[in-house]
Amino acid sequence: MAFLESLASARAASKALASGPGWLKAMREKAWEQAILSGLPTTRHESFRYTSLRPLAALANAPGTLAYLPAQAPWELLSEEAANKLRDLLDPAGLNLVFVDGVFVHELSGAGPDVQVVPGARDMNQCVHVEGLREALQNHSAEAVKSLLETIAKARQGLPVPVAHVAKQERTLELFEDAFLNEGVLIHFSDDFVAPAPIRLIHAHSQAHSPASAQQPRPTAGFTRHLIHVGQNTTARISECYLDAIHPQAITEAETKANARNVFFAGTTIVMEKNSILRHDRILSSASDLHFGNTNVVVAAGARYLSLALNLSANLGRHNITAMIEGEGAEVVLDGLTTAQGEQLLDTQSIVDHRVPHTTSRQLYKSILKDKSRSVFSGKIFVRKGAQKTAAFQQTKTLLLSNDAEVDAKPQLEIEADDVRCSHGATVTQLNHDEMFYLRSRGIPESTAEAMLCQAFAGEILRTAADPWLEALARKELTRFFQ
Amino acid sequence: MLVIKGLKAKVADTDKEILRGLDLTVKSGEVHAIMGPNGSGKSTLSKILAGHPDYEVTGGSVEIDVNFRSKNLFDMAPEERARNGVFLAYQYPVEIPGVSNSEFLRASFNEICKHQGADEMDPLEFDDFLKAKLKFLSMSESFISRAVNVDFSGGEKKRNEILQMAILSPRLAILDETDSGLDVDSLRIVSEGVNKLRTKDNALVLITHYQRILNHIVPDHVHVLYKGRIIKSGDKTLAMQIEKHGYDALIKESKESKESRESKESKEFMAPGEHGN
Repeated sequence: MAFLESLASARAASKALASGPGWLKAMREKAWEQAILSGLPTTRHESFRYTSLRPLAALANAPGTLAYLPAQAPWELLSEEAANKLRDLLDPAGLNLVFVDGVFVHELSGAGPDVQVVPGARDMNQCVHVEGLREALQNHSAEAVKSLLETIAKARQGLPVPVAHVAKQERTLELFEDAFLNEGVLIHFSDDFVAPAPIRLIHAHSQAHSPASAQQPRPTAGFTRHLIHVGQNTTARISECYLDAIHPQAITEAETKANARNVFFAGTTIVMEKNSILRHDRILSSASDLHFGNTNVVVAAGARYLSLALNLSANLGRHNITAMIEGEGAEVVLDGLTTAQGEQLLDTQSIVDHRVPHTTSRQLYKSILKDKSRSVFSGKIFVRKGAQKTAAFQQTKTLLLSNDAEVDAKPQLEIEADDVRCSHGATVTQLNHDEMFYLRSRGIPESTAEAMLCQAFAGEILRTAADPWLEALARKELTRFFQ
Repeated sequence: MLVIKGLKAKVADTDKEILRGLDLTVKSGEVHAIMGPNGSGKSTLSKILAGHPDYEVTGGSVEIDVNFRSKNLFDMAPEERARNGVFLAYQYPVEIPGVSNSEFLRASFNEICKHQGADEMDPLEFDDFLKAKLKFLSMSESFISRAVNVDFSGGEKKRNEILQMAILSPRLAILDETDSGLDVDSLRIVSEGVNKLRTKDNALVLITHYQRILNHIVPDHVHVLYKGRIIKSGDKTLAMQIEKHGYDALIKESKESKESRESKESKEFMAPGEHGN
C-alpha cells in the first residue's frame, strides 16, 4: 500500500482529528485534501532530487497497519525503567516539556524551582503561557492558536515565486503539520520580559523505550506542532529535542540500513514581535526514524532569531527552516551541524527571505559524514526589490571521513536589490593529514586523533548552543558517533 | 640507542630521492648535531624517523633500543614510536584550530602513561603538572588554554615544542631547526630548558643551520649532511669550522675523497653502506 493510503486509513480511524472548533476541522480537511491531490514528490522534483522518499513507502509496506500516534495513551506504554531513564535525562534547571509519541505528558514534565508546575496551563513568573496544544484548542486559547496560524500562513504566501510555485508535490509533507494539527504546545512569551531559563520540548518514543518493542511493533506515524509567540522586547530560549532512545552505545551500521519503523513530522511555527530575541536550539538524534521537520519563523523589526540545528542521526531526516524577515534591523543566524553514518541521509533546506531594507542573515552549516552516509544542503537566500543594505552570508563546510560518503550542497541566491552584501561558499574536505600526523607523533592513536579533529570541527557550531544542557547532550551523542 | 644504516628515502609517489645511504649511530647520553646546506635532507631525516607518510623508505635500516632490545623503527606506527620515546620537535609546528593545547597535551601525556603502565592523570592533576613545566620554560599560563599553535608567534611555537618534550620526557629527541626564528633570549631559554632535560639515559639530535645554538647545547658529535649522505663527522670544532669557512670547502673536499674512494671501491668491491660516515 502506498504511504498516503496507509495514512488516510490511520487518519480516518482517529477520533482526535475529528474534534475541535469548526475552523480547525476545515483547515485540517483542506490541507489533507490538498496533500492527497498533490501526492508525494519523487526524485524528479528539484528539492527532492537527492532525497528519495522510498523509505516512506517501505514503512507503509511493513507488516501491520500504520498506526496514527497516539494509538493509546503513550504514557502508559512506557515502562517504569524507560520513564526513569527519561527523567534522568532531564535537567531541573529550565522547564522541561516531555512528549511521548508526540503527546504532551504532564507526568514526566518537570520544572525548575522558580517555575510553578501545574498540569495543563503553566506560568513562568506569570510572563510565559505554556499550554498543551490539545487543551488549548478546546478553550479560549484556541483564538491565539488561530491567530498565530493565520500570521504564518500569510507570511508564507508572501514567499517569492520560485518557492511558492514549486511543483505542488514538493509541499505535500509540509501540509501534514496543518492536516494533523492536534498535539504539541502553545507557548506565549509576554512583552518586555527576559526568560530566566530555557523551555525544552523533549520528544521520545514509547516503542524505543519499552521492552514491547522487541516484538514486531506496528509501524507508526506521529505528528507534532509547536506554536511559539515571542512578545516585544522579550528574550527567550527554546530547545527542541527529537530522540528515539537513550542509546547506550554507538549505532551499528546494520541499524542504519534497517527499514525505519516510525515516521515523525514536527512542525514548529514561530512568530517574533519587535525587538525580541529568540535563541532556538534543535537536536535530532533518532537513528531508527524517518523525520521531517518544518520550522517557519516570522521576524519583526529589530528582532534577532538565532537558530542552532543539530541533525545528528536519523534513518532519513529532513529539516526545512524558513526565516521570513519582515522588519528593518532584524537579524537571523542559522547554524547547523549534521553528522551521518552507515547509510543515513540527512537533508537541510533553508530559506532566508529578506523582505525589507537593513536586515542581516548569516548561515554556517557543517557536516561530518562517515561510511556511505549522505547529507544534502539547499540554501536559498532572497533579497527582495527595495531591500537595500541587506547583508546575507551563507557557508557550508563538509568533512568527509570516507570515500563513499557524499554531500550535495546547493546555494541559491536571488537578489533583486542593488546595494547589498551577499556571499556564499561551500567547501568539502578530508581530515588534514599534517594535523593527523602531528597528533600521532605525540603518541595519540589514529582513532583518537580523528575524533579530536572532528570534535574541533564540530566545536565551532556546538559552542553557539544557547542551552548548555542541550550542548552537553549533543557532545555525548558526538562521542558515540566517533567511537 | 639509535643505529641508522645505509638509509635511503624518497618523497612518496615520486622518484625524488633525498636520502642516499645515510649512516648514523647515537648512544645514550650523547648530543649529536646534524648540519648541512639547504636541501641536503636534514628535515627529511627527522620526518622519516617520526614516521611521516610523505616519505618512503627505499633502503637501509633504522634500529632503536626499546627496553634494552633493539627494534626495527619502521615496524612501528608514528604513535608507537612516540610512546617508545622518540620525539620530534618540528621545524614548522602544525596549527590545529579548535583543539586546546591543554587537551592535546593531556591526551598525549596519558597515552604515554598508558603505554608505560602508569595511571592516567585527571585534568586537575595534569593542570598542576603542566603549570610546573610552563614555569620551567618561562612560559605564560595562557598558553595552555589557546588552540594548539594557532596564532602563536614563531618563538611561541618552538617553545611549545619544547614544552611537549618536557612533558613527554623522550629518550631520543630530534630537534629540527628549533633555533630558527628564535630571538637571542628565547634561544637561551629554550636551550636551558633542553639542557635541563638531558640525562645520561636520553639522547639528543639537533638539526641546525647555524652554530649559534651549539654554544648553548654543546654537541658531542657534529655531522655534515650533503645530498642525502653524511660527508663528514667530527667534534664541536667542526661546527666552528663551518661557521668560518662555509660548507663549500667541505663539499669540495668530500667530492675529491669520494672520487678517489670510488676508484678504490671499483677495485676492492666494497659493499655499499660501509662508507660515508
